[in-house]
Amino acid sequence: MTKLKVLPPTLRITNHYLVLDVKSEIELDKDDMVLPIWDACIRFSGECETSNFNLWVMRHYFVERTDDYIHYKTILRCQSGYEEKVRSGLALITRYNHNKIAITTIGITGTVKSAIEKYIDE
Amino acid sequence: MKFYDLNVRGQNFDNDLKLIKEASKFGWNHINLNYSPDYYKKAQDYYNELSQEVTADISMGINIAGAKNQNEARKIANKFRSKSNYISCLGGDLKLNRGICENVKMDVLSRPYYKRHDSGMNHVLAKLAAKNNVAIELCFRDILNQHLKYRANAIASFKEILKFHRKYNFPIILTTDTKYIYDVRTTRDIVAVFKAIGFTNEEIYKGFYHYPKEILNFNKQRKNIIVQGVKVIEDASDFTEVHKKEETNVDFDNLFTDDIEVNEEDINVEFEDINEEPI
Repeated sequence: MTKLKVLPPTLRITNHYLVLDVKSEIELDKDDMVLPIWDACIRFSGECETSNFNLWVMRHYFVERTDDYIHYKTILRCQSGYEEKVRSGLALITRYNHNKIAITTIGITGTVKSAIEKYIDE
Repeated sequence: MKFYDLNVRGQNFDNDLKLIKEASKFGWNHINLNYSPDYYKKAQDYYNELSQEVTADISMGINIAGAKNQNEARKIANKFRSKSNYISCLGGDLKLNRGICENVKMDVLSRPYYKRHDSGMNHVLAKLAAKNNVAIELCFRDILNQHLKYRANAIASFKEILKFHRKYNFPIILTTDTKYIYDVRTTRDIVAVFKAIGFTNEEIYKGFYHYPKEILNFNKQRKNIIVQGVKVIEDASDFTEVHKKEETNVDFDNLFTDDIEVNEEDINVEFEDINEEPI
């Protein structure tokens, strides 16, 4: 399949990156993060509004395992201007596949690099 | 602006410590732990130990959850009024809601919409709450832990209470009612949810900071109040100490905006020549 030509900068969507703090009962990999994130946004904002979000899971890091939960940090791409709507949707997740999960946004950055420097390598 | 959470459900020392540490990490400045009247005395024994271990300010209050009628709630409030700086009562029953709104010794009517299909408030209760300075508490937990129809009902109740608040001006407080570690969210996330529901920046500012601070400060000097509108000012040499400066210069438009730093050098995206003619 041939790839589309890369858009000129003026026509590109500008993105921001949310750094998520994820607590889960079970182990989650990067692919497991996609479904709860999309589900939460579609539930709270609806299909039409979620189409603007341009969501993409960029990075997923394991942080620690405690007695109560397994702690991860995730970097999520979203379209600039919709950060508040995405974070409000994500804050309302409580369960994924009948297991407890809690997602909260701890920071917003302009690039993946600065997200890693500021929030992951601290 | 500081963030006050007046309703974190206290259970025991270990769990309370865990919740407070997590909450203060996520930006909460003042946490009020709520206990049942029976457990309150026991909880106060470890208050000093708890406050030494955490950086956030903490206080302890009473949540009357099992009151069958307004008389029972009133008796408990009278009993604990001198011992606690925060007394709230769980609503839901219409008579109970009215009894709490009429009682000046109550600080907060918690969740008047609890287990109801409507908001549990009307214009009469709104006027009474404004007259007796009883705050109405809206819990984030009610949105968080309910889904679909029930979540929509909770949001509808919030909107109706907000409508009454705009007209009758009774105090409204926003809380999280955190019980487990999985319920803790950052302050900005909760602000984003309330904004999505329809709260303005000013209402969120007042719900998280202004009214909670007023309630706690008012209760600290409740013993000095002789009758409604008259109080003894301790250690005042003249009347200049009566007038306190209020925080009036709050920029509500830019209160919750993010300062996102975008370094142009970091964006190394390779793209083809944009002037190339399409094939």
